[in-house]
Amino acid sequence: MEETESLDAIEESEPPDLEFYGGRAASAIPLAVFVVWAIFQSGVLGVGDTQGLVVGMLVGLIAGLFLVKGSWKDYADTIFDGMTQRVAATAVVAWLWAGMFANVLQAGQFVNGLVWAADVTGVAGDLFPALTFVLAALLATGIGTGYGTAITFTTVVFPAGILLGANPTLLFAAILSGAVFGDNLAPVSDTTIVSAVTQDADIGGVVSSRLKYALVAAVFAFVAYVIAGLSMSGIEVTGAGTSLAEQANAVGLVHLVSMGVVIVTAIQGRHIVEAVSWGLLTAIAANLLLGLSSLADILVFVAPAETSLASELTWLPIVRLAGSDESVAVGGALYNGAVGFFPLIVLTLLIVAAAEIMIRGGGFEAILDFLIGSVATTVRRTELTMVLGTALVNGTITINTAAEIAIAPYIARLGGRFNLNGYRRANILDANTSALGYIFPWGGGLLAGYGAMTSLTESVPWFTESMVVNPVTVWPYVFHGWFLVAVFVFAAWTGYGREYVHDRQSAEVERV
Amino acid sequence: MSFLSAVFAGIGFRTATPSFAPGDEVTAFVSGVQNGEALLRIGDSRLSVSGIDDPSTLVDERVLVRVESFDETTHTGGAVLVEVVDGRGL
Repeated sequence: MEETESLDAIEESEPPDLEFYGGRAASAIPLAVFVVWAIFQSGVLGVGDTQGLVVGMLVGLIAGLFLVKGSWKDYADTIFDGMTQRVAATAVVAWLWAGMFANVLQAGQFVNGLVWAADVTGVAGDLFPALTFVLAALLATGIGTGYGTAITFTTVVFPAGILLGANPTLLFAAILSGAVFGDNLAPVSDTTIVSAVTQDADIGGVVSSRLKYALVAAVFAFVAYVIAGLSMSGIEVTGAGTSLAEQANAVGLVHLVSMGVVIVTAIQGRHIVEAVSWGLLTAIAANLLLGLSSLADILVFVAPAETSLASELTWLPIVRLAGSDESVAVGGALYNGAVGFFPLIVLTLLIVAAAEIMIRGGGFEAILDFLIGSVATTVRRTELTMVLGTALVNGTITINTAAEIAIAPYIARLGGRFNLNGYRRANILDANTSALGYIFPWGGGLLAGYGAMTSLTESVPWFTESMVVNPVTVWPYVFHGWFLVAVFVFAAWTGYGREYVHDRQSAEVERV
Repeated sequence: MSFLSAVFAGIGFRTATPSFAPGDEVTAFVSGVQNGEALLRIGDSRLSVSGIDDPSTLVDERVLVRVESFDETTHTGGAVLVEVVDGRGL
C-alpha cells in the first residue's frame, strides 16, 4: 500500500490552558500515577479491588497538583469540568440501569434455565465445553457482566461438566470464552457502554455493528472447542452423586425474552433508560408470575426490630425485621445491582477528570502528535496501533473496564483524525478490552472464575484441591478471546468492516 | 435504520483510499491544518478545505464540505466548507 507522508508539517496546536513544571508531558502525571498504581495493585499483587483503584486515582490527582505552574485553582476547576462532562453522566446512568437488570435476571434463575438446557441436550463430556461456551455466552449477553458469568458458571456448571467427563482446563476456558463474548456484545455490558459512549456512538448501533466481528470469532471458537473437546480427556472423580438435573429449572429460560426485549429495543434506537426499563419490567413480571423469585428477592427493607412502626408494616412483602445477628439495610436485586456499580462510577468520574487535565495540559496532544507523526501514518497502521495499543493497556491493567476508560480518548482522536466512524472505533476499542481480561492468569475475569473454583473445594464434597485448574494453564484455550483479537488484527489489515464518517454516521450518544 | 440493515452495514472490505466526485457533500472530522488550509484525512485520502479564516480552531470538529476536485491517482482533492456541525466533534 502506498505510504503517505507524515503530518510533521501540520502546524502546532494552540498553547495549553494548564501549564506544568516539566512541560506538556507532566500533565499526564495523574493518569500515569493511576496506571502504575493499577498495574501494581492488580497486575503485581493480584488485588482486583475497584475501590482501591479509586484511591489510586485520587492520589494521582493530588500528585499532579504540585506540578502546576501558577494558580492551583485552574487545576481544581479542570477536575470539576472533567467530571461534569456528558460522557461521564451517560455511563453512570447506563451502568445503574444495567446493574439492576442483570441482578433481577440472576435472581430469576436464568442460570438454572441454562443448566436445564445443558442437561436436556444430554451431550457427553467431550462436547460439553462447546455447549458450555454457547450457554455462557448467552448468559453473559443477557446480564452483561463477564465476571458474573465466570463466577456463576464456574460455581454451577463447572462441577457438572467435570462429572460428565469434560477436561477441566478446557471447560474453564470455555466458560471464560462465553464471558468474553457477552462482555463484548451485550448492550448492558459495562465495556460495551464505555466503548459506545466514549466514541460518541449509540449503544444499539454499536451492538448491531459488532455482530459481524463477534459471530465470526464465535464460530471459529465453537469449532475449536468441539475439536479440542474430542482430543482432551477428563479426570476421574470419586464419591460424586450430584448431577446437572438438581440445579436445572426450565422456567428460568423465560429470561431469554427479557434479554430479547432489551436487545431489540436497544437496536431499534430507544434510549438506554427506556430499553433497559422495559427489560427490567419484563424480568420482574416473569419472576413474580412464574414464581422464580419473591418480591423480597427483588427489593427488601430489613428494618430494626425495636422500631414499632416497622413491626406493624411487616405484612408488606418487602418489609421484614432484622434478625439478631443481621444488619439493618435495604437489599434485593435492584439494590445490589445499582450499588454494585458505585465504585466503578466514582472511578470513572475521576479518570475522566484526570483525562481532562491531560487534555488541557497538552500531554494528550503531545502523544497524539507523536503517534500520528511517526507511527500511525496511514489508516491501516492507525487501526493496527489502535488494536495493539488497546491490547497492551488491557494486558497490563487487568480490570478491563478501567483500562478501557483510560485508553478511550486516544482511540477517539486517533481514529477520528482518519475519519473512522464511531461504530468502528467503538468496536476496535471493545474487542481487546473484552478479550484480554479473561485470557492471562492475572486477568480480572479469570481470577473471578478462579476464586469461585477454589471455593468449590468447600461447597462440593467430592471436589478436591487437585481438580482446581491452574490459571497459568488456561490461556491457550480461551479460544473466543484469541479469535476476537485475531479478527480485529485481520480487520485492521484488510479493511474488513471499516466504515468512515461519511459512510455512516453514528447516532447521537444519548440514544441507546 | 432497521435491525437487519444495521447488522449488515459495513460488512465487506473497505478501501484505505475512498474516492469522491466533484459536488459530493461529505461529513468528516478536521484532521489538522496544512499550508493554511483545513485538512480532512479520510482513510489515506486527503481533502484540503480552502477559505477558512483560522482553520486551527476547527481541528477535531465535525464539518460538512462540498468536494470541488479529486485526483484518483494521488487520492487528494479540494473542497469548500458548507457548515460546521456543532456539538459532534471528537
